[in-house]
Amino acid sequence: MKNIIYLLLFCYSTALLSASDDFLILSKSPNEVSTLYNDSKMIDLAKARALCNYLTDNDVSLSTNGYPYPKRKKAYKRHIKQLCEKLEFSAWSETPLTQDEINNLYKLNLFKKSMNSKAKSDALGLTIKQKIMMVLNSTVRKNDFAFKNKITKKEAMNLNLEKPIKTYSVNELSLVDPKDSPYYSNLQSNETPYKRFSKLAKKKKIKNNKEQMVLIFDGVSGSGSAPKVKTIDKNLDDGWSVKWGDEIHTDAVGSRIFAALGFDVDHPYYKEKNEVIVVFPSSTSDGPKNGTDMVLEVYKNFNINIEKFVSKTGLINEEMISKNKDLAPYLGNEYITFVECAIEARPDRVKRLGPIMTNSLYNRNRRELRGSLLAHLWIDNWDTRAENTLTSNNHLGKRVYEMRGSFSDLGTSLGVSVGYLPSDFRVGLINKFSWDILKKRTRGDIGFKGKINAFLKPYESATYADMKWMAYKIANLSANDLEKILDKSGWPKGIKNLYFHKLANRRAQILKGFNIKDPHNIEFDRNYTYSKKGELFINNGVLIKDYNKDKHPLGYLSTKGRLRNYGQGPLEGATK
Amino acid sequence: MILIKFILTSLIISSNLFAGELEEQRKYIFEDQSSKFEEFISEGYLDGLSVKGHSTYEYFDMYLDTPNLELFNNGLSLRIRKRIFATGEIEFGIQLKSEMIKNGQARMEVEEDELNFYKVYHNHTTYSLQNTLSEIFNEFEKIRVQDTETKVTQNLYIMKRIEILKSWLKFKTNAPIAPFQKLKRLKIQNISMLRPTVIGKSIRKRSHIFINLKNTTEDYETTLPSSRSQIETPVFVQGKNKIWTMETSLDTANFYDLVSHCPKVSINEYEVENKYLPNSNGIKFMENFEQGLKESFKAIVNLESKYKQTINILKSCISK
Repeated sequence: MKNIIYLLLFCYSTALLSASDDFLILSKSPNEVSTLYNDSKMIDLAKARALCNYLTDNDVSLSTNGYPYPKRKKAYKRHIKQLCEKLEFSAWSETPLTQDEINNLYKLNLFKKSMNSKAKSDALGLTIKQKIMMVLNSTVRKNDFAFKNKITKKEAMNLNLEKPIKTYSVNELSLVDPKDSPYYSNLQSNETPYKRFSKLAKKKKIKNNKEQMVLIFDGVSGSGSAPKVKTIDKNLDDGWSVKWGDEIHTDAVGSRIFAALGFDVDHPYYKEKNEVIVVFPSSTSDGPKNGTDMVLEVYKNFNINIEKFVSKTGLINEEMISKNKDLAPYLGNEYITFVECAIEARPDRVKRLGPIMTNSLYNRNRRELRGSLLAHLWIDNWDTRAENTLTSNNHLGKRVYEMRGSFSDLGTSLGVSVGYLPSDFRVGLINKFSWDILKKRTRGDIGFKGKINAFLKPYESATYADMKWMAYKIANLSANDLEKILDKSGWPKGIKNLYFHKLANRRAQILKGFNIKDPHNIEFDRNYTYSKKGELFINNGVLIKDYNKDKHPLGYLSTKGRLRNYGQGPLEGATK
Repeated sequence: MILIKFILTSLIISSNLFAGELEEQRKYIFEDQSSKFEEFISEGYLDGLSVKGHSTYEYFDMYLDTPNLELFNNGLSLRIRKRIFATGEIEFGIQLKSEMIKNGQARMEVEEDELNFYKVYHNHTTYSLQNTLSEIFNEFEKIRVQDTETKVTQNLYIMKRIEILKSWLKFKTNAPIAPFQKLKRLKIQNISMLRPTVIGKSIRKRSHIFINLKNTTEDYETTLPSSRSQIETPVFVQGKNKIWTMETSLDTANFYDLVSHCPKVSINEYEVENKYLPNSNGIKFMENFEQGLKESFKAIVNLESKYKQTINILKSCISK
């Protein structure tokens, strides 16, 4: 009898869940959502309105957790009001909530959690407690990535299973994809993984100009630890963050790999010498007015000297305009160009809110979030804090919006050196990026090497089946996908090739560990050796000689990171 | 009532509470609005400031209030507006504004600028709010053109749709709609009894006021560029030789009451809004421009909103 009831309940929920392609629903709703409607799915309008008003009322100046509420953009409020209106109408016409409307309740709660979390981190910054946890997580817990080859009582709750879970083998369970949701979009069978990054960019109307990009200076950033400035695209609508430092290669690669696996990401692009020109507008009354001022301001904000990244400064002249017509409106204005840098898109259509990976709303029960742990380990991403995930409100045109969740900062990866006395970290160190990821494999169980600085609930809850699910996604990436992604890194040829071999080796170990037949059979060479013009740079898989620092100012061997000014001297003339 | 006025005045003076909802503006009326002034706002020059008309559009307004005019009595106006741009583009919005307390005083403006997704459930039938509003305004325009002395209250087509609108207002006063959120904060009573009070049509001519550094007075030649970003500056007033100081609008409007059977009310109004940043420096331009308007066009400072002017005139009719 009990089984029949379960079966009926299961069929009912399956039918409901299938009705929506925007699939946030879990097999059990978190309290924040379920308290907004009764057993007959009639909405509690007063509670729903309280939530909607909290999210949209300009006069709400404090978040419910007691911190100054972040500014809410028009597009964000419009989207929330559109979601709320559907709920309002359901109450007014006294009709039960549809699955789509329950999805809306999830979204509203996600918006709330994300904004509250942002309010807290904006107010407190990185707290001492968080810093201690980062150290402990990176040291004491660093080996805690072991998974038993069995189905647990706490498997993911967003799998929309077709039969009772007990009837599944671990492998069968690992083959079940979560439905598309703001957190994750499955790749189509005919989709080329590496192209997903461009596809996402196109949807956000990001235009990465292949020619020299003209960006208008809009101030030095005050957030994060990597040196960066804010600029505006020549279309005057979209923004770009211009960055220097050790993440300019790794962020480009990490983001493209995560996109190829099905996640949404930020859009960083590596730029070679003089491919970006930052122009200083004549109307700026405060802040840096030329390249020298900008370098000084960056030094003051980040304690990092970016002088070696500067290629040229000066005034825009007719000759420059004849080569790049986008410079025409700026004749006589100050400009600066760089030896190398990264630019990261801040499209007008994407309004950035707080983190998506909050430890709430049963995020821990989502397969895609649990499985992302293996993706982090594969690329050796260290900074896995919730702050490096993002909820965004994206405009699709004609005032149609969607909520998206993304991994927003994947640059602390691909060979990370973390020091505590003195405190520092450096990323993109090829020799620190281990050839091996597999730790043990006994009786079908599996363990991985790696370190992350934040064990979010989904990572703590990840099971063997979740990790194997992600292993299948990693298997889906071919040699061509990896090559195309690494082509965007800006790394010199030898380093780029060495990363290819290491990523391929780690991928092969993951597949072997999970007994997954490699669909692409990527070949790799653990003894990769590379020399150029008679000079040996890489010997037997190890970088032994650093590259030309005129082209790559930080090099790839020194472990001195951003907290030690990358081992450089102070900026001359800077008064702190 | 005194308490509400005190709260409102305090809130308006405390600009932090209305961050992002305030604009520095001044309003004028003319005893005799001449064609010379119409030419001036199209393309003109006044004491070092250049004027360039940039758009004309028409709009329809419907003001809402409670039966005992709580909003009017508290120095507020709440209107639903349909804007028709020269391009044919149409926009609907609902906006709450405070009355100006003294010349140049920033007014509170709280707007809900998208109404196209709202639905009304009235007598077991579903209506689109925006379609209902369109039908009201279209019919109003039809009868207004036919007979300028028309009594809108006698038009059953419009009055039936106003009943639909009243249902929406009654249900929505606690919903996440910005003007209603603000009315609750201001502790205005009986907002669930809001209803359309007057309806009208206006023609608006908009102009930029700017300093053309190649053609200005000595006083303005050394003016520093505005700190307003390029993104927020219209293309016409961008560039090294132009400094955007103000934006103006000349409204010619006719209003008809929706409660009694009073004759129409005609209003002309010229509004000037500061666009120069920092704001404190922009005031100087506004004051100089005002002086010029008074001397050259006999402009008179006007503090009252169109709604307040209309109700003040209609009151004498209603009381008869």
